[in-house]
Amino acid sequence: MSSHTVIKQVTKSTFTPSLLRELKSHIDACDFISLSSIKTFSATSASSWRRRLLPFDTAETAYLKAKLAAESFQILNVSICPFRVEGSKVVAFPSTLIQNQLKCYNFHLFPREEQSYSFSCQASYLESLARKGFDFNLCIYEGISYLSRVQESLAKRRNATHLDFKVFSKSRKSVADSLFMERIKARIQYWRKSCLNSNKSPHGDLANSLRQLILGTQLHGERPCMTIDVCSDNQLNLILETVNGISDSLVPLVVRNSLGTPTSVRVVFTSSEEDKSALLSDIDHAEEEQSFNLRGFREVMDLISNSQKPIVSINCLNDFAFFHEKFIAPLPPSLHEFTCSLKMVFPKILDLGHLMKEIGPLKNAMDTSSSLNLEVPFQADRDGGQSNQGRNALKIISLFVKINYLHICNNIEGYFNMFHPTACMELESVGCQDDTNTYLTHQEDIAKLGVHNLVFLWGFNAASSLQLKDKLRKYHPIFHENFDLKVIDRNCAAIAFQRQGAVVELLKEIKPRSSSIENMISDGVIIAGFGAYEKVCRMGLWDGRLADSLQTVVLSDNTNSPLLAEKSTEICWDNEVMLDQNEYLKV
Amino acid sequence: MAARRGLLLRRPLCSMATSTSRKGKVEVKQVRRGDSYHDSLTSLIQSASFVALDAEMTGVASTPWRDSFEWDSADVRFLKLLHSASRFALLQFGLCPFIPQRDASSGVVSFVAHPHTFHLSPSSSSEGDYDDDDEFLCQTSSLHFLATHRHDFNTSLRHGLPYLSRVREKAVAAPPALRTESCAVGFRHLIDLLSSHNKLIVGHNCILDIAHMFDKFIAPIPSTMEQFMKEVHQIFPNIIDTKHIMNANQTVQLLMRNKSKSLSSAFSSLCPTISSAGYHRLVRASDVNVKVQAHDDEGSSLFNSGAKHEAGYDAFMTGCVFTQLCVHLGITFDQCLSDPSISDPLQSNVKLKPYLNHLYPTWNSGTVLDFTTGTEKPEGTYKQKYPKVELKNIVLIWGFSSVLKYKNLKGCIAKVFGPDSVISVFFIDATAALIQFRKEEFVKDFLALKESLERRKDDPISILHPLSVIFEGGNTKAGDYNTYKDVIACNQSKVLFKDQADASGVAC
Repeated sequence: MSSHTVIKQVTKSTFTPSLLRELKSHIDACDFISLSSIKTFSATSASSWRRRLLPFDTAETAYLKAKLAAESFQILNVSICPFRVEGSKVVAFPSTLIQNQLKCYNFHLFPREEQSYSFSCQASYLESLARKGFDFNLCIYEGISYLSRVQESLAKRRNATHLDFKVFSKSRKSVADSLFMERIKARIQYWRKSCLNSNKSPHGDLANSLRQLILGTQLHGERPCMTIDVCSDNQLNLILETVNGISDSLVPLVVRNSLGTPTSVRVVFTSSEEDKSALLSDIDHAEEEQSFNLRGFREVMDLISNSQKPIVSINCLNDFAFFHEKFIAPLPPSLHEFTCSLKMVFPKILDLGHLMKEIGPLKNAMDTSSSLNLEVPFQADRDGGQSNQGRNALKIISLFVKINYLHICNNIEGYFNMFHPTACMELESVGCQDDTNTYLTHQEDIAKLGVHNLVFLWGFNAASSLQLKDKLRKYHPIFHENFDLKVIDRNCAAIAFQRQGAVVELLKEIKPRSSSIENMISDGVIIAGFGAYEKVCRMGLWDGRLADSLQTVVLSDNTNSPLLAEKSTEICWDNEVMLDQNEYLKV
Repeated sequence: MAARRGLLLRRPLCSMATSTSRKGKVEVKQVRRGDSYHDSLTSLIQSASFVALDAEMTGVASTPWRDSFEWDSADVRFLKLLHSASRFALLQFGLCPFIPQRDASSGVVSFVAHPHTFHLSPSSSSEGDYDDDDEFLCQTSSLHFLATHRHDFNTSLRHGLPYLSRVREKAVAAPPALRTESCAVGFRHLIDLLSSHNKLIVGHNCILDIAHMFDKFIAPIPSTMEQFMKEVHQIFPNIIDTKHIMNANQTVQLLMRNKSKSLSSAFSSLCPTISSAGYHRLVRASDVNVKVQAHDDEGSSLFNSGAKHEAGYDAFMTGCVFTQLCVHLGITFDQCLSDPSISDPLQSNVKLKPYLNHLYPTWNSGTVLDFTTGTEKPEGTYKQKYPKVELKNIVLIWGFSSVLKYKNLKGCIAKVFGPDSVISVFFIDATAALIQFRKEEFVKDFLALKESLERRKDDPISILHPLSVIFEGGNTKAGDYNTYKDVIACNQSKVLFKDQADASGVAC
């Protein structure tokens, strides 16, 4: 089956308009596009609380973490695979090509200095990529650069093109203006006359070159031209007006310095109407090529966006936060604004993480289907290394087909643009084994709780979570109830109560310092509701330990409220996730 | 062999110890994870007169405003150095022991250099305890630059030695037997060895390399320059910065006038016979013979032909430059061999002493960093490029309209404070500028005026006020030089200074 899939590695040298045309034809013929990326960090392998998605993160806090990451880290690879599904079969495009060949494009990216002055890397993650054969040299030496939509419009304002200057005809000109125009007009006319006559000159090359020297004639390609320096926008305006008034055969080109300020006008002499349109189309062409190189990989994102085809992916919140930041515009401050902005560019995103959360664990279904041979394009390649880069887009298709087969989703539209915040696991980005089944069966350990079931606790002194649980039972009878406890970073813990209302009861006793928790307070243990964590994320108190940031919020809060969550939001409390392996044993 | 030796005598500086190496190429030993180097290098370091070093990092400045500026005070320069050394990672570390030997036929002392390039992996070996240690910064232009010099990033990440500082080593809870096995600790032992033998360490413009070495192999950099210099001096009591000698010594100044003092140009102008060994050149009597030892007893090692910006090769060039500078300072190397009881023949030399532990600061501020006393002091011999800056007379403004240019900024201030009130204006970037006034009281007046104009935002007097050009838009903020320092001290790395200043929450 491996002959049916091709992964094309695309670098600076192979990224051409013709490749883009090929990709466009594949996208036009497909139903879905699978999309996956490799960044200089992975939220699942990070250890610090501000990088990692924690089991109590809501969509909102997860977005704020994704925003922080997208602003700090870099994208190295984006792999894209257009496909179509018929039953359990993945069909590829265009069908007239080699029978059912699936083509995946893996783009290697690296920014220019202007796009990203510096960026962060997660060392342990880069090392694990390197061990699996990820080629960093290919990225840095040969990576395609890019420009976000916002950066492009800013750059356009700075580097307006040759022909891009509007002439304002001032109704009233000063005497100086008129004198300036007369002088320029005389100069251009004299030069133009010489251009018209040069072909008929009886004196040969020597005289021609002498004339060129005296008149300041230069060549623009093969056409004669002359350069007039400008000192102001007013002068530029007057020169352009003058040139347009002399003859249609003259084409004025505005020359700008690196800051985008016009420095001179190059007047190009064309010999005929055809010659003029040839010149204009040459200029258009050159400018098109320049902006193609400038936009770089953004062209691919625009292609996908314009196609309006549904995009299938995993970990969408993180990936699309990066795409938004790097290819569209700086990320807005809230999840709501982000999803609105994203929807305008990518109207149909299907997050497999969300889809699986909605349809529940598929373990039983997987057991019965293990004998089934699903025709998915995934095939392990033994040679590893570079040729395997970009395989994740194929794994996503594989996962999508399995879900589709096991659980026929008639109404896929209903799942669009919904993101599942907790990426409890990630497909292995470079490896070649099919780990999609583990992904499918993982979901069952997740308990659905609300943020109102949670409190944060810090300032304690305990050697293990078991010991901490014991201590808590002595502090207050409510801790005899059923609760789960996770230690986040050494001296901070999140507690999830099974019973609704337990949190409110507990927090009620905190502020008036009820005698029942006197021991706890005198030991220096502090408790706050989920609202404190929301505030930490919103205020961007990412530096240092979580306990310190929570403490800052509690101290700065003068409303005397127990810092409950603002609204009830569901979270996915994964019983299996261990947050701090060094310090604590799982209870 | 006899014919070969004859050749060597005529062109002694291109001499290569093995016949496999090509002319003009310097074989640099490549050390990667799992390679044995410890025992051989230990004995080389022990018998060396000095060890040259160089580091290649993932970047220098995380934002344009974190580059060194002429208006940076010593404090600000230290904050920038601290940020750079603690946030960026090392990719390579070059060590090159120079071992003295007496030429059998001529009786002259020459050196055998043993360049080593250590490939380092940015990942720290500790887990969990130091969360943020798992992250490092890359400067995009630095990676592009290394790529043009064909740096192999895959080697660093796949086969690089992890590094572990003394402090972290203590923090990692592992049985002692296991600790010594770790190659991270192994490499750090070499640094300890340099330290325990009080070896003379030679670098070129090496303050940043020393700072990285301290941060990566010893401990987090302390919070003041004085403390940093003191702690470095305790560990490395003998450091030579060849860039300082080049700038401070009159003879060398004269010799190198109008020439760039970058390492590679210093190498080609001071050591022409080594740097262009492939060509026929007359050997000057003053040239010091440096041979490169490429074979080694362990046999299986990997050697590369050294290239510019490979750490081992840069360390080699630095050492060669140093030997030649010694000649110009009138230092002979006879004592390096004559009396084996003198363990520090070079560092105790009176002619070298004035330069010992004097490091060139990141920017030519007319000062030198004296690590022996832990002070920054004026260096009279440095050619002053820039007039002295009065920090007290400086105002920082940021967030102004993007059309505000030098001319109108200076002009509108002149209208209020007088035609000569502004000495100069320095644009940090498009969003922020430092204004140096002639008098200190103008700073206070300017800030007070800004406040009163803001209070009376909409009345005609403030709209017509000349300074309103600066405060147009209502987002312009201002502070004194301490505000500038506070913004630099803030941990964040926003690209634009304006955003950094706003994020740092300084009072304005």
